[in-house]
This record gives sequence, C-alpha cells and structure tokens, in this order.
Amino acid sequence: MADPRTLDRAFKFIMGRFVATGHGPHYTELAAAFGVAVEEGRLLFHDVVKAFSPSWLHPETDYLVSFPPFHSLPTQYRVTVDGAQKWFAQCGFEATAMTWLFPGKTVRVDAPCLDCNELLAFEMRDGQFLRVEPGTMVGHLNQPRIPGKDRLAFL
Amino acid sequence: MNLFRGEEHVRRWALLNPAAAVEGLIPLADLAAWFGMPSRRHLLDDDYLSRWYPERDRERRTAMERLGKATPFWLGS
Repeated sequence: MADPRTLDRAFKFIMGRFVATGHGPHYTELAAAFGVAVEEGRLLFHDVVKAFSPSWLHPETDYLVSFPPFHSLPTQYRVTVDGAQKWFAQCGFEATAMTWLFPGKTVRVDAPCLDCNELLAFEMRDGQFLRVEPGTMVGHLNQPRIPGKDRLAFL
Repeated sequence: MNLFRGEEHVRRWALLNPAAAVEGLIPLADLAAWFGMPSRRHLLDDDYLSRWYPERDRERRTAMERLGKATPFWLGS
C-alpha cells in the first residue's frame, strides 16, 4: 500500500478528473502524472480504490467504474452543471453530495422514478436546495447495510 | 440507495424489499444533511483521504442518531 501522502495526491488527481470531465482516469494517466512506471501507477490506482469505499473497478479489469459521488458508467442520476450534463452520480443518496464538488455553482440532478419512470429533479448550490420537483421526493434504502459491503446497497 | 417521487412510489416499486418498505425511507432533506457532513464537504481537499475520509463511519452514526435511524438496518449489525 502506498504511503498516506501519495494516496492523498492520487485521490486528488482522480477526483479532479471526475470533476473536470465526468469520467475517471486510466491508470496510465495516473502513472504519467506521478512520473512513475506504468505498473507502479496501476498498483497506486488499485490502492486508492481499496482505500476509498465504496469505490470499485469493473470486475476483472483495471477500469474505474465508481468513485463516489461519481460514476463513470451511466446511472439514472444525471448531473448538470453550467448547462452541461456530463456527470453521473453513483446513487440517489450520493447525488445530494454532488453540490460539494462544484462550489458556488448550481448543480442539477435529474432522474427517472424507478416506479413510474416519471422524472424527478432537484437543484442545489453550496449545500442548499434551490428547487425540488416533486416536493414529495424521498430516498430509499432497499437492503440493510452490511459494513464493508456497501456496494450491495446500490441494488 | 435510490430516489422516488414519493412514498407511494416506493411501495409500488417492482423491486421493493418488503422488509424495507417503511424502515428504508428517508426524507430528501435528511439525506442532504447526512451527505452534507464534513467528510463530503472536503472532497476537494489535498489531504482528503487521510484527514476526512476516516470520519465517515463516525459521521454515519451521528447522522443516524440525529435522524432516529440508529438501527442495525441503517448502521449494520
């Protein structure tokens, strides 16, 4: 496992890439940014994912899928900032944390309701709700939490 | 960990776990309070992983206690 300072720097690099582009980097990019060999970058990439739960790679690959509150693969939670919809939230709960990644900006989350497929939406800025539609919107956890296995809660 | 247009939509959801029909509900404002605790507010900090991420378990318990949800369902056994 990399040292804490290196993990912090790698975390910052990955999170910054999500904020800027809506997608996580490939480990070769991490290696280049850190000036290390490709394999060292790949191992550092894995170390960050292991250290930051619940983030995960696509099974049997080195491709980053989930890095909360972001998700590289499309989910139903579409995030729009400055008129650009290029982000996805990992889940509905993490969608409410998106506001902290875009300080001073209005963050809009649009999603279909899994029951009726009608849209729901909210807007936040610096942690405050600006709009919630419909006002009856609720969150729901469908399975009891199992510590260390937080991925199960997304089902 | 999903959002629905209202409680009745949760009850009608095809994949609902009946045991979570009531206990699994959480108001949107409560979610924002939970996900607005320091470990989320500092996600852009240089020392996030070492300084703030370790706070998450303690924050979860604090949030659940405030919301009256400090149960095995929300905290794990």
